[in-house]
Amino acid sequence: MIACPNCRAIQPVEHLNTGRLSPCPVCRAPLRVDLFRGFFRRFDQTELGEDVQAQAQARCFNHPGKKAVVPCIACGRLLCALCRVELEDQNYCMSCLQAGRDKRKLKNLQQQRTLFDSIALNLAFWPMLAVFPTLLTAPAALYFAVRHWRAPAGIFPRTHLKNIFAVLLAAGQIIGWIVAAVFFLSRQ
Amino acid sequence: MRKKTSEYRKVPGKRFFFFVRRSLWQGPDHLLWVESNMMEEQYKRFYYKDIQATIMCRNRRRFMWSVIWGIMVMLGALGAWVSNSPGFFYIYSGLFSILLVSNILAGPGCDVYLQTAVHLEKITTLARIGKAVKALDHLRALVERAQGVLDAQEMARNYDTVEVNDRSRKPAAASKIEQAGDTGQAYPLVLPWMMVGLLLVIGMLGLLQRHFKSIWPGAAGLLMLIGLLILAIIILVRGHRSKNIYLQPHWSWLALILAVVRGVTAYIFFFMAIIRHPETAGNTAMAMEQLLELQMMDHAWTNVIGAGSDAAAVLLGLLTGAALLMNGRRQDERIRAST
Repeated sequence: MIACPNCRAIQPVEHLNTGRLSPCPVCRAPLRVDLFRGFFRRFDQTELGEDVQAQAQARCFNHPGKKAVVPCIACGRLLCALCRVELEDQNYCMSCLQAGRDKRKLKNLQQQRTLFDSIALNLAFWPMLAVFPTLLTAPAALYFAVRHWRAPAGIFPRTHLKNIFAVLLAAGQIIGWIVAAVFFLSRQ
Repeated sequence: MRKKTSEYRKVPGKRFFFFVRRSLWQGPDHLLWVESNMMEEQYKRFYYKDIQATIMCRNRRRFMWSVIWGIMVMLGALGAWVSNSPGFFYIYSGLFSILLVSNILAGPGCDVYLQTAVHLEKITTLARIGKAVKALDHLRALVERAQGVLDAQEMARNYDTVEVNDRSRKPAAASKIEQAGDTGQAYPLVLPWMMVGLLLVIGMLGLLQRHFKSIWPGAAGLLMLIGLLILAIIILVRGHRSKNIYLQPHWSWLALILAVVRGVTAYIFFFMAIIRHPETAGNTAMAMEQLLELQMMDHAWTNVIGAGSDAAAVLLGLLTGAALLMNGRRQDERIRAST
């Protein structure tokens, strides 16, 4: 059943897939609901995997009593219908899937990426407003920009513009501090 | 869907709030939700074959922001009327007028949800009905290409047979009916009310400071500002990604922004006080006293900034209190609807 996000009232079937806003029967909030076939998809018993019927049949690596249906594309282990995980039209076992996620080889499993170029630029820019923290943040910004110059930036391709600006800003701040230090020391 | 990057096309709509940017991208077999802040990007994927439903619910976003921008415009107009140098207030009113008009032209606001077998995800990038309808029409085509078209008769025949109690197939939205009875709130109710109280008191103390020309209300206000900052952070952290909250996060974010702006303003005044009175550089207490004296200086900018932020604190306190009262009522309705 589809419930109203406001009052959790169950929506009648007449309000579904109309393509326009219909008021919720309880709270009157205008709602548009698009329902798809996936809502009615029933659990298929064959997804548990079939038992081995004959001695000669290939067996699953993880479930020796179940019939293997596909090999893992990464390691070649035979997998039953329960073990296999389909990703990007390929079949993987759980171990290879986890390894692919941890080593960042499977792009579709990436859940987060650290943006070192953004960190460098933010470290170079924002402390400038308070002036004094740049004594520490400028070298840190320079370190992040240079150390992680080649780090993968994310799912979407990025240029090195942020890194370049970070380097220029940080270098300018460091030069400014050196000039200020020389100036004050020479006055004394 | 104009922007295309590698295999992804951007779905129209984006949200940007206090250094957090959210966007939605259409991939070959899934939707990609990207949330990026100053340090990292986080991704969530919704495969077309897993999407059960999309729900769009109209809300009062446009009305709420129209009220806020309208009040700002009126305050600017009032300032221009009473002030001897109205130039600043004309610019002030003009900026907020632009925001007001663009908010009205953007159209009615809405909340969009994607429902799968295991959760109900709010898609915050689709915040206006115009863009949301286009995006949902396009998404519908993609999902139907992946799952097949749902016949109206099949839907009518099978809809009532879906059992709400079957956990393995229960829509996430229906499961929330049971969760509404759960009293596991993310934070106790006293915290947001304390935040409302602090906002009102800080605003009133600032006005008292200006009226009576005394530093003590200002000093008390600065101390309470620290409390407000800590409270807003606690509420935001504990309510992060939780559904059981008394207050929508944007109220706490506004309180945090106000506290930060007032804190930065106080920091700037602190430096100005030290520059004006270099002998106070080594004595923090004297420097603070000079800071508070500077805040009471009879100058157009100090008056505008000071009075403006005090009025903003009082206004935010009142609006947050009203939102808290309304949300409490809505929570009661949810619990009543579940029983």
